[in-house]
Parts: sequence; C-alpha cells; structure tokens
Amino acid sequence: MARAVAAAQSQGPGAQVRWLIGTILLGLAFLGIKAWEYAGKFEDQLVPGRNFSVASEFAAVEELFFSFYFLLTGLHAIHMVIGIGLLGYLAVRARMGDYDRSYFTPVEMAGLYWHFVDLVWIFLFPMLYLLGRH
Amino acid sequence: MHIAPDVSLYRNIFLCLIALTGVTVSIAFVDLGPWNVLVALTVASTKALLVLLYFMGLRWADRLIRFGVVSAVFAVLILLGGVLNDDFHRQIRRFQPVQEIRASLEDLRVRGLDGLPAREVD
Repeated sequence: MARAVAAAQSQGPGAQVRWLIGTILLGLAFLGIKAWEYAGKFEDQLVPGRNFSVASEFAAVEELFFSFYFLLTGLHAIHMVIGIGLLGYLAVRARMGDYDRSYFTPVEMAGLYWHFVDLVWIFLFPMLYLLGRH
Repeated sequence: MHIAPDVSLYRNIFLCLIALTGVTVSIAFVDLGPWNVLVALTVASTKALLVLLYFMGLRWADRLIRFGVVSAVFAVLILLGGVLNDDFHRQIRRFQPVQEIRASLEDLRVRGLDGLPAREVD
C-alpha cells in the first residue's frame, strides 16, 4: 500500500495499478484465511450461542472469549472489505491515469485508512492468538 | 502531503515488521507469566510506531498532525486505564469455574448488594 502511494506520486498508472492489485490480493488472502478459520470454529461448535459446546468447567469463560474473538475479527473483516472496495475503485481510477505528482490525495487517504486497519490488527493478533497460550 | 522517500526504506520497514512478528510469535511459546502480555504489547507498540511513522508518513508530517496523533493515543490510554482499573478490582476473578461464578451470583441475588434481603420482583 505504501508503495502504491509512492507510485501515485512518482510512477505511471502501470506501477500504481500493480501495487494496488497486490494490496487487494493480500487483503483477500487475509479474508480467505479468516473464512477458513471461521469454518473451523463452526465445525468445532465454538461459535457462541445455542450450539456452543466445550467440555470444560471454564466453558462460560471460553464462550466469552469467542464472543470477543468473533466481534473483533468480524469488525476487522468488515473494515477490510470496505478497504478492498476503496482500493478497487482507486485501481480503476489509476488505470485511467487520474493520479500523478500533482494529484494523488485519494490514494494517500486510502493508504491512511488501510494502515489504520493494519494498526488494529497489529494489536489484535497477539491478543487473540498468542496471549491465550499460558 | 508527504514526499515519497526512497522506496527501499519501505522494504526495510516491511522486513522489520515481519521480523518483529516473528519475535512476538516465538516469545508466545515461552512462559513468562504476566510478562507475556507486557512483551507482546511492547512489540506490538513498536510495530505500530513503525507503521505510523513510515507507512502513514507521520515522520514527514507537520507538528499539528503529530500533536493530533499524540492526543488520540493519550485518549486511548485514559480509556484503557479505566478498563484496567475495573479489571484489577473485580470481586469475581477471571478463570473461575463457572459453578463458583454461579454460586457468587446466587449469593449476591439472595443477599443483595447492600446485604438486605432481595425484594420480590414481579
């Protein structure tokens, strides 16, 4: 994404579109992994609600964890879907040659949005996936 | 509006972020007790700082924008302080077996918060 913003300022439509598409593909890969993860959670009856089932005396605590897990990852996924939509629009505009050194504000703004979503994940990842090990 | 720096800088920052992700993941396999949380959040904060400074261009931003970001971080710390304050002073502890939590809640229901018998609710 950062490279796409740089390309909007100093390179032609070809490079801009390439970096934007690259960002979109990585975003889609992330969403794909999440879809696979969610499917596993449904399979293992870890989705909070009527069919939640864990054979443990801490079941209530685990259900609470998975409520947070789905709320936080789900909200993050929604942000990413919005971001991917924005980047798709930018890729079309970039292909038409709309962005150059004198005008690249939309690319820069989308970059700020995308990196903000990135910042959120930097904190969510260790908290949801790593800290529960002990 | 920031001037794009040399793109090799972006590659170096990216490699740093990947390396720090490796650090967090490997440290998660070592049991440091409560320090795990601190280490994980310190590494995460370092990564966040790199993203803010370089990918979001804060490094080249003017002082008003930097002041805005610092204020936002400060506001988040106030909110987090409130949450942690609540969490540290809980009567019902985390990771209690559900039966014990139920017992505490039942006890609370019977005695009431003020120690007086519960009123009948229709």
